[in-house]
Amino acid sequence: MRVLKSLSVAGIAVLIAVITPMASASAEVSISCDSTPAYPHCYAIRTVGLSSSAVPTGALSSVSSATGWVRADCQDTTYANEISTSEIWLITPNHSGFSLGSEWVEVGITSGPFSGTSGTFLDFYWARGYHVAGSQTDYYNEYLTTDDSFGATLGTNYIFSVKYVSGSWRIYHGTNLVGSGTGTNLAPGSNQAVQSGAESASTNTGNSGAVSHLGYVTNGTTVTGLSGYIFRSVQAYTYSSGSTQDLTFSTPVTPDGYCH
Amino acid sequence: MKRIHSAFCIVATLAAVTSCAAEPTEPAAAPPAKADSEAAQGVLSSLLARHPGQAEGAAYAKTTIAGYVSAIPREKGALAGAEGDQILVVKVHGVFTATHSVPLGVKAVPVTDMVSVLDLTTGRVIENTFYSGPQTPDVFPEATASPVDYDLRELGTPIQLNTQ
Repeated sequence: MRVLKSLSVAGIAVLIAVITPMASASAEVSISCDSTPAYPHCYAIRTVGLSSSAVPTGALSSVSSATGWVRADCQDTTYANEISTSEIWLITPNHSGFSLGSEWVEVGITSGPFSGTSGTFLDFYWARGYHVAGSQTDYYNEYLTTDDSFGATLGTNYIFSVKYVSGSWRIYHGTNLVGSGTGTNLAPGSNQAVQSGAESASTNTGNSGAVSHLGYVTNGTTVTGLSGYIFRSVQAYTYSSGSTQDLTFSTPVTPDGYCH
Repeated sequence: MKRIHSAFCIVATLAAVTSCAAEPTEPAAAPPAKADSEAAQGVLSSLLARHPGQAEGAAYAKTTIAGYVSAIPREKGALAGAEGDQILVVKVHGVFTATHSVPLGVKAVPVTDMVSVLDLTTGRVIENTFYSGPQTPDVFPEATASPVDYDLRELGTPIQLNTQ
């Protein structure tokens, strides 16, 4: 009985080793749109510094910058309350007391949240999730970039960067500083990661585009490309990827036809 | 200039004046309170449409970007718009489902408070903030909680909004 049990454990271990994707370039992990608690978050993203279960591995530290070209070929603006984005996320070290997984800074193109009273547009935006020490409170801020002027043009590459400069995380569009803030996310340190690609908070919205020329700076060294996993929500996105530097993504179905 | 003209016409309409011919030559005064309330109510509606849940109370205050950044220092450098732009800061308290962007593998923040900033010069929302906090006296005059983050009382006189 003990022998059989040992063999079973060994067999399971071998099976897990066979089916677990290796952390090599272009290894894909298929995921479902996360529908908890109510709204789906669907992704097609390149990553570095994440395990196959999307947890920072600890292998990436002192990441002071992430950059890339971001392009939207189609982003539905039909549903102002349902975001779809093409963007870059840089995971920052966690404050003590933060319980949501990771803190982060992000930048890219979004539809939905900033329509105000002037209509609905594709906007350049940036955002941050963080914990304010002493408050026991976690925050999410999302902002129009300071150079947003009624939005992005479809089919155009925009170069965005998140950089830690002089004690704060800053957002750049090309070489222009377009956002910053103090007293929020921690300085570069341990357990960091970088993600780039598409996110949609609905399976109804069209969302196609690309991220390319990706890279980051760790411990002062510039690294080209994000060589970790590609995560894809199979019910929402198709993708193609020609190198460690790009990812082209598309929603296969846009029910309202808006993006075609 | 077109915006100034439009603002004046709104003022004139509210005052039951039938003509907009006599435009002011000086820069337009701040929009009337009714126009502010209507704009704030529209921002609130957008927030509630985006985030399903139950609103318990809402209010707004009017200030400038400079005044807002002075009250909330961590917003310094974050906002699209000129320091002198008039803004409406709309705040709603309740229980909501967050729909904001998150990296893969990270949970959205729990949301009981939503703050939205409308730039009256451009007509655009320039910031949304989501977090959890207690009922606060800037939104609920009878409340006593302290300290208050994004405190509308530091920005101006809070004006209640209809959450129905």
